[in-house]
Amino acid sequence: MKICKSVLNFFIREKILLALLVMFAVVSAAADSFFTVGNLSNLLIQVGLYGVVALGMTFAIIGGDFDLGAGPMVSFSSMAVALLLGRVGVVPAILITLFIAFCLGLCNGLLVAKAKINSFIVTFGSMVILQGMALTLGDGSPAATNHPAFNQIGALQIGRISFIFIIFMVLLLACHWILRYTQFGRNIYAIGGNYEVARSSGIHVDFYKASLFVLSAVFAAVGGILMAARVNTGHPTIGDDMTMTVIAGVVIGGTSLSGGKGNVWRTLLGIFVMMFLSNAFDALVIQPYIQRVIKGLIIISVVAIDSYSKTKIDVGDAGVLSKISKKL
Amino acid sequence: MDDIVLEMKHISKQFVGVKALDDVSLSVRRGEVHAICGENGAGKSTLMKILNGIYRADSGEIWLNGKLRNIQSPEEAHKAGLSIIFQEFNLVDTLSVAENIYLGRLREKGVKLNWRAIERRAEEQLKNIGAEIDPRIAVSRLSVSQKQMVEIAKALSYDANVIVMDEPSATLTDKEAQKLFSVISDLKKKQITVIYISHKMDEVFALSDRITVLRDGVAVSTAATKDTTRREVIASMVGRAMENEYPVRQGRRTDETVMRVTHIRRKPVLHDVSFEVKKGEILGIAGLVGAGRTELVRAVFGADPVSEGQIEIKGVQKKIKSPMDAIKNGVALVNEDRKELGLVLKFPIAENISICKIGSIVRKGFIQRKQENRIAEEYTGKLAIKSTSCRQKCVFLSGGNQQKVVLAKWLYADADILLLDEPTRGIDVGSKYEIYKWINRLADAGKAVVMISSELPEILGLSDRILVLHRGKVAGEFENEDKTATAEEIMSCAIG
Amino acid sequence: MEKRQKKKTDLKKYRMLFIFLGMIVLSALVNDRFLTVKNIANIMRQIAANGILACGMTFVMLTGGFDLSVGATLTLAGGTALTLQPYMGVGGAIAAALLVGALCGCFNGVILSGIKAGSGEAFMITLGSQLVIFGISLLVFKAKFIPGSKSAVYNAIGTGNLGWIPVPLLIFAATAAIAHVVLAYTSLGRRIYLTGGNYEAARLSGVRVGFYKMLVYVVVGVAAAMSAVVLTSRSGGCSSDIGKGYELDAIAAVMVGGTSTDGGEGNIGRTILGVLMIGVLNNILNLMGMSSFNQMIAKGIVVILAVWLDGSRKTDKGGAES
Repeated sequence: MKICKSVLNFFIREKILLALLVMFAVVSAAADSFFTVGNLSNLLIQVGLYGVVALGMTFAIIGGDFDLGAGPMVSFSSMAVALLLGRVGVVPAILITLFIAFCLGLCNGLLVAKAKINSFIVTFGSMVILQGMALTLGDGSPAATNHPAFNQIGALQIGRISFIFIIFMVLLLACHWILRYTQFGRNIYAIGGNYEVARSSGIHVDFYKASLFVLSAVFAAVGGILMAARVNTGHPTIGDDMTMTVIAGVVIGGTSLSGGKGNVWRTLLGIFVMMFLSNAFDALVIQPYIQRVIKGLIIISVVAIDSYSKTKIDVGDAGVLSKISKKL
Repeated sequence: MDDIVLEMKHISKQFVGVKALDDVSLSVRRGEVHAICGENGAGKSTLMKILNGIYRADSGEIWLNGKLRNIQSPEEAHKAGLSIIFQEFNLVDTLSVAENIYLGRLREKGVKLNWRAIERRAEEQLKNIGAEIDPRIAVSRLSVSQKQMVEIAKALSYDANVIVMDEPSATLTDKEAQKLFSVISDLKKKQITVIYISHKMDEVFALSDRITVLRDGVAVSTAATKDTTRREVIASMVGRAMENEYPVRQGRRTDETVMRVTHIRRKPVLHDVSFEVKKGEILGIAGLVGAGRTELVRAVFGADPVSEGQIEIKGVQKKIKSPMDAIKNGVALVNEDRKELGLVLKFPIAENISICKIGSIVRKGFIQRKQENRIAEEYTGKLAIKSTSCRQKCVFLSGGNQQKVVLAKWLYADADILLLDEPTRGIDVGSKYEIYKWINRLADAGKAVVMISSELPEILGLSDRILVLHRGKVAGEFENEDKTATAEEIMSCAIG
Repeated sequence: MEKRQKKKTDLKKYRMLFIFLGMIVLSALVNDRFLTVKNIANIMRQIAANGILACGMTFVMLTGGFDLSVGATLTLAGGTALTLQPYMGVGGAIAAALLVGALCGCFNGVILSGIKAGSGEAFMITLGSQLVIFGISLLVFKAKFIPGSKSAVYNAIGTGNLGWIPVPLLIFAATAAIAHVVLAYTSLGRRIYLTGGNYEAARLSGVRVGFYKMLVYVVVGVAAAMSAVVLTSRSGGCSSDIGKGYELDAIAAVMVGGTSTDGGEGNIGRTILGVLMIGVLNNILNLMGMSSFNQMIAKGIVVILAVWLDGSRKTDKGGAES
């Protein structure tokens, strides 16, 4: 009985998870092509690709910021790694790509943390720059990754589960550990929760603020590399639309855009919901245009319900009763 | 005996054109409670910010625990053994109590954090000061006084032997304040020095061993508490002798009922409250925090929806569903939180004064800026608001002057019924007196005033009639036209 | 002493203007075709669409809001204007487009004012409505390119000249002038500022904050529709991605101008400056024969740089507290 109640409470709190499970069941029943091994493993690959980018974004959002340049970074790094492959081999190509992402992320980070420029402007600027750089690299056209070992990363499966998804899960566990059990992770919560308090508590806020953008850039680059391995090409615009999907996923999972709250499991949930929707719509043969409309309506209703229920709770707070003293 | 733990010598600090501190020296003994009093703008906060490394002094020395210190950041202050608890809490709402206490210092050894150990340590810290708070819950779920306890625990966790508290009781209820005072005397027993900044004379005299008064950036006096009097301290704070804490009214109330509120309900805070207020009357509303005082005036003002109740203004029943309706009917609300609810801080004084009656300064759709400024100047002059010009932004005004702008706004809006919620909270003695005079003057001019205050003397000293609320209901009513009500009877009524 | 201080803040106030003038001088030195009447007319023609949109966006951002859906609104309104022309005539079609813009804005505004959204929520909600509105426009126009108008009047909106002044510039100037007058001198504008300056305090002072919070989204929706008309007229047609990226350009222009995301501070003059800077930048990079890809890189760098140089305004707060 008690267990029933706590399970019920859990689902009332985790509305999104409940909704996902219900939708999952409905779609499985409604569309034959959905609940198949092939389709589900495909779904996991999508979750893995977007999820990796979302991990970086989770850091940024918990820290109270977001990175508009994450998607273009995916495009750029997919191009970079594809072009480097042929020249320097797999491992150096990956490392160099990650290093470039690290440097670019650091630039963003320093501009926000040290030069105190609004992060929207900085990441908007770097978004445009990265789009330009991705296009410049291949003169606007995609670059094939003619390297079997590299392409194997994208193709490899371990018992029907894609290697990409496994990489994502490993990174997710690592991020969970960092965010939960290290001083570094907790300080990111602190700066997102209240920047001034973090500063006056002796936390080097500049360092942590900058590291948000580094992490976001590096994770996006990992996403780009995996993307290139998956489709066997570096594509200069492949990730441009990912930014918004990823931010939406993180927020729908329940990580608050105002910062200081959330975790990677929520990100997993949110990204899963986003990817599930696209996949389910395809399985249900819904026209892509209508898919957009439905997706948009879902984002709107989730955020609206969430924030509406928040304002409701605030009102009822009655405060603590206590006496008037003789003193006064 | 004269074991000096903190000594500030000849501290001066100048801001653009303003001398905030002028050659201030202060020495604090180990294990004493040292009160610092002064009006807003006297330099208390600046002095503390210098101690904390947020500002740098232009000249002067700080000796702390026997060493000359060059404190450049709060971190260095902590290392030197000094912690400051500011009025605005330094807590991250989204994180747990334990994490807040050890914010940025969670790690003991290794890379991995040991949450159990952190929570245990936090629990111990809290127990040390007698606070029973679960270290695992989020700070956002704590009450104000619990947050304060967490702040104190946090300060102590730095192994501080000097703790500065800036107006710690400003937002506490009296019971909570009592709790705080007992914690402070415990600290004293442990030879921990407390520097206590406060406006409230009662507290200062009950708690402190010595009192230093700052005025206009100068330390005007330091005296042992037992050798001085309340009146002396106030006099040196304001630079003149004060005859009365509360001004005496010239006029009397009338018998004409201006507003009658009947059976107002708003679950779960208000259960069937009725009251009326007469022309020229000051009605004081007393009660515990949480008794529904703020909720009552907000409901009357239309700021929150009510489930039931009627409001009659000058004998006519009115529907007040929004602040706009209230304003149209001549009702005004001065909020308890003037910074968040009373003013648009980043806007100029003039725009804050005209806010309720923008229509009155508009000709053919255009705002008449000259007229707006003229009105603002008229009111800043009338209320003696200290400012550089009427287009100065309100952020830059002191608390007392900000409150006067709020008052000016409602005066300009021509309100007949003024609902004042804690009108003197966080305001220094001098400005308080001026606000009191204004309240009297408004009543004399035939306005009806409803005043909420947690400071009982204020209620007793000003009101003609006192209404006591208890758990959302009227628990009692006291005549006080001749200031005959006593604190005891009101208090016992409020406790219920 | 005080006087010098005042002068200094005055200079700071106009820092962005100096950065802009510096940019013009530099451009003129780098390329001698830059300061020709023809080229300047060209710049003006190009900035009009973004300029009109940015004026609308200023309203939204003054209330502390955000609108990512205007690019989609632009596409939908543009398609409407072109598709309906054969049936309703030029005037009717434009009116219909403006109505579509207003409805899209209303959709956002009702939701956002209903949930009392902060800027984070505004970001997410308008992101959602971007998908919805764009989806609708794809559905309605079947993602096809809609050919330009046959009406000379309609085409003149984007390409015509009045004397030597391009018509789109006139439309932009008129929009900006109206927006400026409304914001700076009318009670409507004052109430919008108040809504953004402190929502709760304004509400408790009798300002109908919910209404103004909704209204600004209608304003930006109509502005999006107006730039759709200018744009579809100038480019002679409407593709399904005509509005793509316009929302970010407009927001960037407002922010480069220096209007803060907190609300309550900023003005149309600053927005115009932001629009001009981005427009001049695009133009000079084009003149220099830079590839479109490299232009993106340069544009990103200059936007960040300009805001950085302007940034010291933020530290204004510093000395004043005491």
